[in-house]
Amino acid sequence: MKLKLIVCGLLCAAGVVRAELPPETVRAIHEAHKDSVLMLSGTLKFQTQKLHEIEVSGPATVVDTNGLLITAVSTVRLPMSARKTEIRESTLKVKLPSGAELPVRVVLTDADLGAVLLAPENPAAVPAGAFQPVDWATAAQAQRLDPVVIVGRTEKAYGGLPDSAPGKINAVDRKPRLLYICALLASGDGEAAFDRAGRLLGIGLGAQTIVAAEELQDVIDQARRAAARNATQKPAADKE
Amino acid sequence: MKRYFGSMLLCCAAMLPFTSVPAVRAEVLPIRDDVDRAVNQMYKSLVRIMVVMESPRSGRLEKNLGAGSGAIISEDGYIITNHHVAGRGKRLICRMWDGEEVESRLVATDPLTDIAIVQLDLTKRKNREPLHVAKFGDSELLKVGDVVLAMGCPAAVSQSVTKGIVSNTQLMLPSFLGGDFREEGEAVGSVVRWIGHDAVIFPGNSGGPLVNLAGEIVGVNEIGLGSLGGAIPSAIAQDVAKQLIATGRVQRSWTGIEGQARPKNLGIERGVLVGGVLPDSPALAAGLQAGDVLVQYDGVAVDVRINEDLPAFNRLLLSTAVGKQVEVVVLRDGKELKLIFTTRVRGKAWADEVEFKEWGLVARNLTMIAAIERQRPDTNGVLVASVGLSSAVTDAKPAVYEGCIIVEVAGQPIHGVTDLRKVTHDQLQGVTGTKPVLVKFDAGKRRLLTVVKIGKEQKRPDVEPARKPGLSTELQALSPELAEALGLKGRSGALVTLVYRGHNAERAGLQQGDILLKLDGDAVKCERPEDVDDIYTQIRRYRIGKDIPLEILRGGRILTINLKLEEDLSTSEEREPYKDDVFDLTVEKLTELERIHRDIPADLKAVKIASIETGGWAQLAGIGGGDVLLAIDGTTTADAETAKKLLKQAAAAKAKRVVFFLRRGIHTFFAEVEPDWSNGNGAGRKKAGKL
Repeated sequence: MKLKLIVCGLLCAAGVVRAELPPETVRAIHEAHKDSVLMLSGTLKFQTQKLHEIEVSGPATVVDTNGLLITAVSTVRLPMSARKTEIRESTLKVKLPSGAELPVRVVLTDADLGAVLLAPENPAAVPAGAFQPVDWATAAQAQRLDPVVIVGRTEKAYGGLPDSAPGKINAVDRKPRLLYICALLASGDGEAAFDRAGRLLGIGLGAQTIVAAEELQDVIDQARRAAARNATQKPAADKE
Repeated sequence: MKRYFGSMLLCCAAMLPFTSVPAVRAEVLPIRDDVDRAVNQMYKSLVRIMVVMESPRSGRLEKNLGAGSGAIISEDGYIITNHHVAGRGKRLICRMWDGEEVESRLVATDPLTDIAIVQLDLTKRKNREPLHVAKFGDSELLKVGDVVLAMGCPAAVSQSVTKGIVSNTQLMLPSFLGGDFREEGEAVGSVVRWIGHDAVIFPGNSGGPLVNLAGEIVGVNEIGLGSLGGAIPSAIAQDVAKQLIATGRVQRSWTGIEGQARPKNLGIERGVLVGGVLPDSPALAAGLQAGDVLVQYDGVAVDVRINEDLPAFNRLLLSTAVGKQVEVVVLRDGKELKLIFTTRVRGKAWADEVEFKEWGLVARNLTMIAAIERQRPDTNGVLVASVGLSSAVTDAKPAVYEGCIIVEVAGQPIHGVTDLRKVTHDQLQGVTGTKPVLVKFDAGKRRLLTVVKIGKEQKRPDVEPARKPGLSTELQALSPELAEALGLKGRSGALVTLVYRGHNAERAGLQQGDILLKLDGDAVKCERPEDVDDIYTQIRRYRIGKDIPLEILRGGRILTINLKLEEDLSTSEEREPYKDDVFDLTVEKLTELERIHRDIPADLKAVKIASIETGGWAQLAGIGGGDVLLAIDGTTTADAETAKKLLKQAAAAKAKRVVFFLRRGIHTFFAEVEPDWSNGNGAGRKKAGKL
């Protein structure tokens, strides 16, 4: 009997450290955060040596209640350079949980993180409560082999519906920044990653990499300032 | 001059056993006095013409700066030059023989003969001496071998003289070499047979006189063929100049006859072969046909045996009075035939260009000639002369491109640029931003429809790059060869080439010449120049404010320095550019990195001239992009905002002169800008309208 109890105890202990999350946990995390990852779409024309036109379609995570969004460069394929990018025309929109679409614009890019930050074109037109941001205040860290839930959106072809995928942290890179490598991450770009307790770990920014939440504060602050700067500018001289 | 005499004597000496000295030796060997006399007669009439001209490029009328030469031909200050020098001039400044620069204006121009007339603004001339006026000589009297002088301003230098002989009095460009020299759609060689000479000319001589030893203008230098120059004969130039001064144009007739030299093997002994008769022309209406041989035109026997005879024939036709009834006699199938027609006015090949910023194109009206060449039934429509690479018309699908003819916009027929201007204005009434309009246009024989978003594109905020940390230092790769030369064989690292003064790297104790071995515990591998960028990229992955240890090698000792990463100077500063459209320059903040590299003290109050507009007042005053602006009219330009304020004040006051104090390298200098606040220049160019 004692031996059976010991064996059962060992088996239970083994079950506690297994990385797979039960479906109900994944579902709960999905329900709690599905409205924090929205679908971006539209076209963007930008000027470098010549005029480029790109189509945008993909998920973006809500950063704050003002509608600041973060996504990956694979979704908004702007040139990642140290110079400002001139946008000629934009029909970018984000689809809110209510179904309404709101025009947004790109405010900042981070070539090293592969991040693109967007803000509403007209902040005054944002309905109250339209945006449900992820909770940065309770963001956590993870270790190798910890389970992770990626909350995101299906591809445009499947309607951009809220979806979630469980995964596992395969590696942790701490220098120069805290990054989680999630080898089985099929997409995840622009999507939010949560731990088993539903706490934010970071944002997927390409190459099966989740950039830890704490590493994004700096670029988020810069994006807020850039958005505020351009929002308070007088209408710029018309382009000729 | 001595060398010239010496070689001539040698030539003559060599010839002595074989031939006697020619009797005309005194003419063949002009002495210095003759040349001096001619130069003295002519020199003070020479001017250098600096031109700010506009040409269509990328959908805009872009300014260019050019220079040529001219000669004063009247006491009223009229100057003869080439159309390709001054014909597109918006601003003209003539530099006189004594160095004085005088504002001038374009009076009128004739692309077909490449002659233009400019006039000095004598009210602005300081020298009160009467103008030195050049005289015309008779180009018909020139013979091969005559000594001529080419006078002008090659390469925009001050007035210069070269000497040569007349090489050819019937210079033409052979058709098998590509044919005509064209100016704005006009084949100059169809009416001009140049005087070829070997007096050296160079770009900048254009428009300058070819002078005989009597000091008279016998030609206007226009083209160069290697070392051979070509001048428009004074017989043509003087006649055109008179008409341009008197009426502002050269009135020419159109017959529709295209003559050519008699073919060798058709047994035609006299006359002009009619190579073609243009559609809808008076000659066609009268029944003239290709293949006819024209033997008499308006009572004058005509003959074009060789190509060199053609310009004179063409001039005969063109100079017929407009509306005159002309009788021609032709040979057809061996019989003489008389035909009568009435000439029509010819007009120009190309109308003036007009810029349409709202469309991103430059357009012009269709002239009669342009319409006929394009086989159009009339001159309705607007010809697109130039489009912007990334503009409203090229963004449209299908795009409107050069050579297309716009015939309708938003349901309104477009007869000419005036219509296009009006419909554009009407469509954009009360519109901020752009508006899509339906456009009907012809591309060759096809009639196409498209939608063009005309108007002023609203400037959107630029996308900013994230601010990143930097090392506040600059590095060089430590190649294996360099390492060995420094006694560090086998070592890997990066050489510190510059430490930014006043920044964290300096404060941390990093010095120029240190070798960076490790960065945050990781060995630095930097053997090739491109490896340096990898180090900068690695640093950018950190956060601003992070402390990282650096291991360095200095004087044989390994040291560790702790560096707090700060914002990379190359991206940290807003430049705050201000573009001034009056003085045609852009000023911006002098960034800290620029100050470091250019060794400009941090406490020196100055801004940078980021760029200048071609042909603008700043460029004309000698200001260049990259110059450091220290003061305007004695007031220090501490920042871009101050510079902006001072420039606006000067513009509001219509200051006669504005003095810029600048620094270029280690030198400082003053540049005096004297804007012309009137709209005097470009008076010769017509406003948009149907011809």
